[in-house]
Amino acid sequence: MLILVLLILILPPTLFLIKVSIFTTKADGSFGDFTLRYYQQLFTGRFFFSALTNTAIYAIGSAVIAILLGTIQAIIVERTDTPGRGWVFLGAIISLGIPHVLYTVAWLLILGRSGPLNGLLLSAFGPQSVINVYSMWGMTLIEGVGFVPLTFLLMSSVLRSTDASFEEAAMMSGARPIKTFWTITLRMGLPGIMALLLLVFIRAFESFEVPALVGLAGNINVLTTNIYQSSKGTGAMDYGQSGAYSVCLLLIVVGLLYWYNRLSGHAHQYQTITGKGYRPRVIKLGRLRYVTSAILALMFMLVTGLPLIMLVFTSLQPFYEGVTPESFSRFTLDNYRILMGPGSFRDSISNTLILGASTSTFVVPFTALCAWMAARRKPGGWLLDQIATAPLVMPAIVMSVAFLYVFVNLPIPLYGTLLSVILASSVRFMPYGMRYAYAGVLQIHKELEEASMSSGAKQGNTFLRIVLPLLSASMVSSWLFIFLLAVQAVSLPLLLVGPGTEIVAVTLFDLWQNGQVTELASMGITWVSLMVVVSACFHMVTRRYQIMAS
Amino acid sequence: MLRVQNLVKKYQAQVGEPVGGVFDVSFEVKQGELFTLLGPSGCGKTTTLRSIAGLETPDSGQITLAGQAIFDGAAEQMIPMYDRDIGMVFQSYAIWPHMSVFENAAYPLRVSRKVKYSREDLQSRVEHVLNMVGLLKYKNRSATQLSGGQQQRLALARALVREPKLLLLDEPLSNLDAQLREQMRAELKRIQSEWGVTTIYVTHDQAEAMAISDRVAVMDQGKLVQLGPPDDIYELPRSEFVAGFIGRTNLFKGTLKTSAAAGGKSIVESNIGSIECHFPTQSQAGQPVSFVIRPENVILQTISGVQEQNAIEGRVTSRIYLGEIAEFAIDLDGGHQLLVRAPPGNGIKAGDRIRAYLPPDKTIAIFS
Repeated sequence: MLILVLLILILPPTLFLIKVSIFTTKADGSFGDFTLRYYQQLFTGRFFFSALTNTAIYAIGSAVIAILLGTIQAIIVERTDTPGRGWVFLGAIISLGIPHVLYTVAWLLILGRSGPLNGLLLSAFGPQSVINVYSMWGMTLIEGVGFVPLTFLLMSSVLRSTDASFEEAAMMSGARPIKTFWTITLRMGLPGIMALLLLVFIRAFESFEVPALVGLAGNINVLTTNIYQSSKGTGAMDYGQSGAYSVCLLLIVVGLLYWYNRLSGHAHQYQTITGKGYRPRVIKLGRLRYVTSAILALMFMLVTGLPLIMLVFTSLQPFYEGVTPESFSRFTLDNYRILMGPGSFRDSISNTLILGASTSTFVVPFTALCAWMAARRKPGGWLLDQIATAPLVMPAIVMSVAFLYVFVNLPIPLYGTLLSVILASSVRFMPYGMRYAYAGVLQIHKELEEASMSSGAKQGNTFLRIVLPLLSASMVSSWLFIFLLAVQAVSLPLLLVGPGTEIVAVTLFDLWQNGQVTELASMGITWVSLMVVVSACFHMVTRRYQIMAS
Repeated sequence: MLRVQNLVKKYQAQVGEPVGGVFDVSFEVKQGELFTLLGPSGCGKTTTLRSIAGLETPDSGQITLAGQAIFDGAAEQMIPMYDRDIGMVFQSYAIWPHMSVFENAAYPLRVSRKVKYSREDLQSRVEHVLNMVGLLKYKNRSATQLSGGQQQRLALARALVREPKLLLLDEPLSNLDAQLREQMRAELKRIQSEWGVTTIYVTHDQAEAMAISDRVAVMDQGKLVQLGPPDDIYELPRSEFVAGFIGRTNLFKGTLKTSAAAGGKSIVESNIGSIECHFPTQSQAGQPVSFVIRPENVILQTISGVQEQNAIEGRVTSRIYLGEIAEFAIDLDGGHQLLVRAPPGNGIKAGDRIRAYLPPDKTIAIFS
C-alpha cells in the first residue's frame, strides 16, 4: 500500500524524464520516434563540456570556502573559551530562515556595480579598480559563504561527537593542547570533514539560485542553468535537450552520492559517540580569546549581518541607486505599505505558507511510518526505505523538469496549481523526512514496542499508541525543518507555478529579473522575520530533545 | 502448564558455523511454579524465553501453553505474541515514558480485544495490581519520575494486570544495584507466590537462581545441561560445566576402578590418590571419571594417627578471612591445589601441614 503510493509519486517523473531524452517530442506533446540525437547534440557541442567544467570549478571553490569558514567557526565555538561563542548559533538560526535566492540578491546588492563596495573602490582608486561580481569568483564566493551556516552546524556536531577520552589519552601521553587538537581531534575528524566537503560539493553542483542570478548575467553557464534555459527558453521548449541534460546531471549526482555514502560510512567508523557524561575539552585561549571573538563577529557580519543590513537599507528606499549620501535622506516605509495591502504579495505569502505546511504535514507522518517499518525490518520495509530515499539523487531543477513533463501530460488539469507544487515538494523532501524519522525510531528502545505487543496490542495499535507519541519530538523537528526547506525552494516550483499560485521564493526571483529591487527587499525582510520565528522553534525543539539527523 | 519440545533456533553468522541460538531444548513447567533458565551469556536462555513469548520465531519444535499449541514447527503454526496470554517483564523494563504510571499499567487492558473492560472494572484492576507492587500512591506520576526499582515494580504490574497464564522475566534484576536487587528478589518471590502465576525467570546470576527458584534449568551453548531443584543442581552437578558455573568447586580427574551402581559408591584412581566417590548414575569400570567437591564440604584435620581413606596431606599456602568463613588454599602433596572453606576459628594458619578429608557422600563423580 505504502509502496504503491510511493511508486505513484516517484516513478512517473523519472520515466518521463528518461523518455523525453530518448524520443522526439511532437508539437502536441506526444512522443515520436526513438532517437539518441539529443545526447549526440549534447556531447558534440562545446556547450555541455564548458558547462561541466564551470560547474566543477564553481562547486569545488564554494565547497572549500564553506568548509574552511565553517570549520574555523565550529572549532572556535566548540573547543575554545571564546566569549560570545553562543551567539553564533543565533546567526545560524537566522540564516536558516533566509531563502537562498534572497541571500544571493543581498550579496549582489553589496558587490554589484552600484553597490557600496564598488562605490568605495571608485572613490578611492578610480574606475579601473571596480570589480565585476557577475563572474566565476563572484558565484563561488556567494555560494560558498551561503553554505557556511550549514557547514558550521555539521562540523560542530562532528566535533561534539568525538570522545573526549581520546584527547585525554593524548594529553596523558604528554601532548600539549594544540598538538592534541592537531594530531588527534582533527585527524579523527578528517573522514567527517572529507564527507562534508563532498556533500557541499554535491549541493553546489546541483544548486540553482546563484548560477541563475549571478552566472547567467555574467554569461557563465553551469548544468542547472542550462537545464532551466532549455526548459523555459524563449519560444518552444526544447524538451529533448533539457531531458538529456537532466539525465546527465542525474547520473553525475548519483555517482557523487554513491561516493559520499561510502565516505560517510567510513567516517562513522571513526566517530565514537559516547553519550553518557560526555563533555568536550575546551582549550583555554587566554588573551587570544578576544582575537577569536573578533573573528566570530567578523564572520557573523559576513555571513548574516551585512546581507541583512543591505536588504533592510534597500527596503527603505523609494528606488534603488546604490548607497549614496543622498539615499540616507530618502528613507520611506512605502514598500512595506504596498506589501501589507491586498495584492499578489499577500497571496504569495499565504500560498507559500500553505505549500510549506501541507508538504510537511504529508511527508512527516508518512515517513514516520515508512521509517518505522524499515528500521524494524517489517516486510517490505527495506524497499520502502530505498524508494523513499531515492529522490535524493534528483537535483531540484531536474525534478522540476520531470514533474513539468508529468503535469503537462496528465489528463487532470494539475499544471500550474498549488497542488502540483505540493506534490513535487513532498517527493523532493521525502528523503529528509526519512532521515529524521529513521534516526528517531532508532532512538526508541525496541523493548518499548515488544512490551506493547506482549501486552496484547497488535502492530497497528503499537505504532499509534507507542511509536508515534515517542517519535513526536523528532516529528515536530522534522516538520519544521521540511517546512523551512520547502518554502525556500526556488528551482523546484520555478517551472511548475502559474499565475495565481505565486510562491515567495519564486516571486523574489521574478522581482529581481524585473529590477524591482526595493519591493524585493521589503518582501524579503518581511518573509525572513516570519521564518526566523519558525527556525527558532526548530532550533529549540532540536536542542531540547537532542534530535540527531545525519 | 507449559511444554517446550525440541526447540531449535539457529542464528547464522555471516560465515561458517552458526553462533548462539538453541539446539533441541525440551522442558516442562508446572502450574504455579517459578522456573529458572540459568546460564552464561550466549547460552540460549534469552532465545528460549523470547521464543516462548513469540518475539522470535523458532526454526522447529513445539511450544504448548495450557494445552494449546502456541508454536508448532511441524504444522507451521504460530500464534502471534499479542494473542498469547503471556505477561513479560523486560530487562530494560520498557516503561513507556509518554504515559503516566496508571496508563502504563492499564495499557494491556485498554488494548484488549477479547474483553472490553468497563471504566470501573479497569480502574479497580489497575489499582489492585499497583497496590500489590506498592505503587498505588504514585499512580498519577509520570513514568519518567520513577526510580529503577519502581520502574521494575511497574513493569511487573503491567505484566500481571491482565492475569496472564504465564509470566516471563528477562533478567529483571540485572539493572538494579546490589542492595535493591536482594530486596526486589524477595519481593518478586512474594508477589509470584501470592499471585500464583506460573513464571519463567531468566538470569545469569546463579545465586539469584538458587534463592528464588522452585526448579532450575542450566543451559550451556544452546543446550539444556541439567534440570532440577536448586539443591540438586548444587549438590549433585552432572557435568564439569554445571559444577564450575554454580558456585566454586574443586575438580580432579581419574579412572573408575570397579563398576558403580547408580546412587552407590566406588573408588576412583585419581591424580591425588584413591578417592571414594558418590556415583549418581551407573558406571562401568575402567571409564575415565572426574569428581568434584565443594570447598565447604572438605574437612580439615591436624595430622595425627593413621591416614584413613579419602584423606590427603598437604600444606596451607594462604588463609583469607571472610568473616563468617575463612578460605584456605592448600598445596596437596603431589602438586595439586585444593580450595577449602571452613570456620575461621579452627586455628589453622598459612604454612601449617594439614590433612584434608573428602567425605565420600559429598565427593561427586561426573563424566566429562
